[in-house]
Amino acid sequence: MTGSQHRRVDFRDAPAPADRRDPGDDYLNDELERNRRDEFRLIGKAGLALLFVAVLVVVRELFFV
Amino acid sequence: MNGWQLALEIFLLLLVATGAIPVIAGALSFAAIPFHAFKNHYGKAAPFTPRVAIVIPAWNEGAVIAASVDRLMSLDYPLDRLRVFVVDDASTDDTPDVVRAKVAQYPGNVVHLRRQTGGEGKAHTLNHGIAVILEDEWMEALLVMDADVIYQPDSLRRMTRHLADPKVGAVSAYIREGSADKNYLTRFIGLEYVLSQPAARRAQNVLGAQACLAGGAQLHTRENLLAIGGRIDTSSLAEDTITTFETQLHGREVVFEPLAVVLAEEPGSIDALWKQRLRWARGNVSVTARYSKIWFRPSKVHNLGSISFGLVWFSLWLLPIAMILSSIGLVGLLLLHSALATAIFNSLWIAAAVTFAFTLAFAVQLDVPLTSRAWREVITFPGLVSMLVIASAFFPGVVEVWVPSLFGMHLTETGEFIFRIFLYAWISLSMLGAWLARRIEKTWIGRFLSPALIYLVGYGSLLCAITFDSYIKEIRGAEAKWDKTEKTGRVAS
Repeated sequence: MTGSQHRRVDFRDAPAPADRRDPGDDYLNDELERNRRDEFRLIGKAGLALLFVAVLVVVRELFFV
Repeated sequence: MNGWQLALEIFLLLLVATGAIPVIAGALSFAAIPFHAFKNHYGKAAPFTPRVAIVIPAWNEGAVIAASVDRLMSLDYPLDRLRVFVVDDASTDDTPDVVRAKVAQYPGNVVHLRRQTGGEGKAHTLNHGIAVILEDEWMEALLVMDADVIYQPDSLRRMTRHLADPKVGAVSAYIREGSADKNYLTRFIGLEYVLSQPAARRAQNVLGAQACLAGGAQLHTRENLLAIGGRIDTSSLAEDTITTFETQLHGREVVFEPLAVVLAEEPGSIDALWKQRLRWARGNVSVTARYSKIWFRPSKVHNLGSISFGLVWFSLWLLPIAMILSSIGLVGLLLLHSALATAIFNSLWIAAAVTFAFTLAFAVQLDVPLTSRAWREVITFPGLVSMLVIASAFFPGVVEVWVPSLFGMHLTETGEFIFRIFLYAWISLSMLGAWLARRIEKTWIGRFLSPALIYLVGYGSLLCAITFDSYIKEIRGAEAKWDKTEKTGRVAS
């Protein structure tokens, strides 16, 4: 089995480089920048989680207190 | 109320308050994760492909070692910068033959080392390989891994890029549960790993202190390895944690890279999990004692002494004690007929419910492919009974009034009192349920009842019961021996 046949977890990745063993600094810098920017999605995910908690609290306040 | 009663009530309140500490620590830790958007190491990372020596400890790994070497040889990494050292720990199966075949297949890239006497543990095996690797100057970075794990093709290069920053001493990856034949327990473990790695270790990146480099994926610079003694500690069962602490105590950073994914096979039975985690828990006891002078003492060299890190470390390590003390406090307040009992119970469990809901809702988004397959374990992670306890605190009246009314019943005063005692003591009783699940696991009824018990008491209670067992073993001075977790090559890429 070659490396490119492995399924990746990070589905947001850009297309694989032409030479996967030595993709070149441009590709690696792009990947790094993409990964750095992706971390901002954590804020949205935390917001969604907070929204879920807020719904629970509202239900409690409206119907159970 | 006389003075003694007041003093007793205050004492019981303090006991209850210990239950709030893990809740606060968990909330603080997860609140830090979004800040990883701003405080991460990507800004200081750069394309960097040092010469990497990979050391694999192997004892009777004939079933998995060939595929492991093949996968490493196909990593997205320059082949002339990659060497694999398989340290055969006096295997009695066909491991030597399999590795020799790989040496012939990949000349110059795969090295077979053999210990004539084995069974001393992973750290001794690793040190055999590290000593050989350090004999020349070829190695610029050392990757420590397990024989059965599967590195995703881009994982190594995603780790090495952080070593471009000379302040970084070591990098760890996300160990993801990867068994092909998942059962309820491996799904729980998978979810636990999401909570503890892409979630909690991101928070530790933000806090500036990492608790533990994953044993199956730790990448060290040569300079760091030499600074911490050029070998892995052999005096404890927690060699990974000691390596992590020593790296940071020597002034080097440890970075967790959430996008470097490594698949690993985790225990599929409670008994195997118990043995693995007991080893980890007992190792953590020795780590806590060994580094007794760093806790809660901020330093300019490292962040292991920060209040936040100490809170996270001790709240996990002492969680079973906090649970028991909290239960004793609540039951005591109830028996004193204190008006505070219900209010305190509700406040504690509401805080726990909110933290739990936030952490789980956040964590499921961090590895959607895995958590979507483990949706039953996500929903029942606290345990079905604990969910009833939470419901009783969060939605007053539902459990005590509404549910009985569905059956045309109502709780009498005595019934309500007994129900309250059960609610308050449940957090401790749940550990007994987890212990029972292990005891009966190998019986015919245990095949069905043990999983049911874990769903009832919760996976967290199982981990707490194991930690509690580690206290007992330490107090008894039981022998701390290396128990290799049985691996059967169930990981699928």
